[in-house]
Amino acid sequence: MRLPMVYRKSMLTYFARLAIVFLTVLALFIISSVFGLLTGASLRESFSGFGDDFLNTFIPLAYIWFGFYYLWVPYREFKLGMQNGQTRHQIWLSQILGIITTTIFNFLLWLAAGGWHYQTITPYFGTFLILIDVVSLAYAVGSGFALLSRKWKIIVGIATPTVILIVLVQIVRLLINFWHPSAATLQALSSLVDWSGSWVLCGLLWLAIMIGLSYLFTMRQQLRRD
Amino acid sequence: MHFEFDQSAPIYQQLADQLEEMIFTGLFAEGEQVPSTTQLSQELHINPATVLKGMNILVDQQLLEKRRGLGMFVTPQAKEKIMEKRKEGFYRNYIESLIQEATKLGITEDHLLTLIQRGYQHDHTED
Amino acid sequence: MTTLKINQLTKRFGRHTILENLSFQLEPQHIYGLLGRNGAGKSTLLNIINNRNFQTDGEITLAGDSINNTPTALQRMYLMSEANMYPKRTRVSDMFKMAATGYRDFDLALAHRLTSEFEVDERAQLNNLSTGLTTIAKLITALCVDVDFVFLDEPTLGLDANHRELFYRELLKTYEDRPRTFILSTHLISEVQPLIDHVFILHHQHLIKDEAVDELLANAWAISGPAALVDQYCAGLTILDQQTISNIKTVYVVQPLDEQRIIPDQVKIEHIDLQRAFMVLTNGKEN
Repeated sequence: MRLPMVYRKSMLTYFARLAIVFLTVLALFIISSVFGLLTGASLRESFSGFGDDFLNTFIPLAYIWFGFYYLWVPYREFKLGMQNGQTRHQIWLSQILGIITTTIFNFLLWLAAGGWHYQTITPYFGTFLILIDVVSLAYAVGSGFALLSRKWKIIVGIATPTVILIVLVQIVRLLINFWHPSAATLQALSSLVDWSGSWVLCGLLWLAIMIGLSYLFTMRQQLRRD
Repeated sequence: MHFEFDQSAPIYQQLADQLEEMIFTGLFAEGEQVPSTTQLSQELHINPATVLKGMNILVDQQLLEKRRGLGMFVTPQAKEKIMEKRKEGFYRNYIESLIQEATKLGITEDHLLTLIQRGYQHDHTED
Repeated sequence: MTTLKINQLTKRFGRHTILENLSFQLEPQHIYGLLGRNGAGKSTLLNIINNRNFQTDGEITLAGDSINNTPTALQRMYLMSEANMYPKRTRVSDMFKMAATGYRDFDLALAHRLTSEFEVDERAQLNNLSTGLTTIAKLITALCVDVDFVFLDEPTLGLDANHRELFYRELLKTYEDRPRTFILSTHLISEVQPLIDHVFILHHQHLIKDEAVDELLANAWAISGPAALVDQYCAGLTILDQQTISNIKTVYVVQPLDEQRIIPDQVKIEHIDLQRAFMVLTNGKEN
């Protein structure tokens, strides 16, 4: 089976650039170790930075790239897809496949960095859900911003967080001033918060909303004139 | 001799005329192959449909014939046919315009006849 | 192969109308010319036909299906445009690879031959190529990809005379090898006149001509001679453009002439070329 064009291109870009990050970090570690060796430290001391230290430097950078990537690529890959006979459906589906692939990859990184020793399934599932929730948010925002010209990107980019912040502050103020829940209600609420199922539901709901938004945005994407 | 196009007529017509001239002057001999549509199209940057249209005029006039799988060839009697056709057009194309120009210049019929006779004697001096 | 139909297409940006109620169709195996003055909306039209932008009204169908979000339709068409669709650091060879994965097929052998004919380095990145060489890289991709409709928007942008000649030749070559439909949108009308068999002229939001080139030119005339006689002959004709040098007047018309009408001796009637016909058809200000 032939992989969808945009998926293939997107994954090539993602992993090629991550490989550059990997090699850069690796090179820095080698240089510093060799430097240690030259200044008289033993072989063992010099290369003790490898292993955990190396992973602890590389993995956060990989996570940053993971979170940033889908903010950046939607318009770029829309244009490539359109130039090469892909429909908006195909482009969107490619990106969703990419999101799943990169999430799995970063989940494996998390396991490699020491996340493998849990006894129950909950932490694994929770981590996976958090990763995919973050990246789907990035894709939703990225594909939404892809619709806007530079001017509107700035306007929306400043206005939206401001509006959200104001609304949240107002809600909290209203709650504090006018909402005096009974002890029983508080009890019920706290048990709801304690129950991991409610977090899972929230995470899944979030994922569904983000995927839905990205679909709506991608279906409306056009070639911009700027 | 080469192909050259202007705005006087549609390109297919000019192509047909010029190919005909090339056959008439013997550039393409009777029974010989003429360039293919593809060749003419690519060399002259002309839409192949236009080239074909021009060629087909000559096929209709039986100056060219298609040989399946081989290409277009000049028919054996092509030159003769062109000659006949041109004889028919000679009066309209040459005599009429000659008389028209002569009239404008005030050359009389007798004088024109004298000039023609002189032309046959290869005498190019002016009066 | 099937027909691509554009039906009552309208495009507005805000209150500004770019294209109004265009209907026409593209048949298999033709080389079409899409002509229009700067800002006439040629690129907008091509972007809409290729689903890159949305129309305000009307529809575009291939084999009866709307092309919007239809993979089978978009797979049959390719638009080479001035708009930059590739990231700056894309290599020429990457363009070929992407076309090969995006479309059903891509003639890599032809692409290699063309890059050597045009002397383009396949490893070069687009941001290191001149305007002309970038155009060539895009053109090569367009000629090698397996589609039924190839739209070329400004295919000669930045190309020198030698490269243009080479392009016209290669276009006709691939057209003969694998007949399909080409749509050339260009300002170099004289150069493409012999290549195209049918012409669309866009002017003031409308499609003012949709005609075979031979037919259009068969009825495109320059009528010249003494002003009084020319005026007398042209009475009742739609005069699109005219020029007068002292007593000598030239009038341009694009319409069939009445063969019964007597042509005064000193009046000369000549055919005009596509470029002149285009100019006289599109030089009017908007009423």
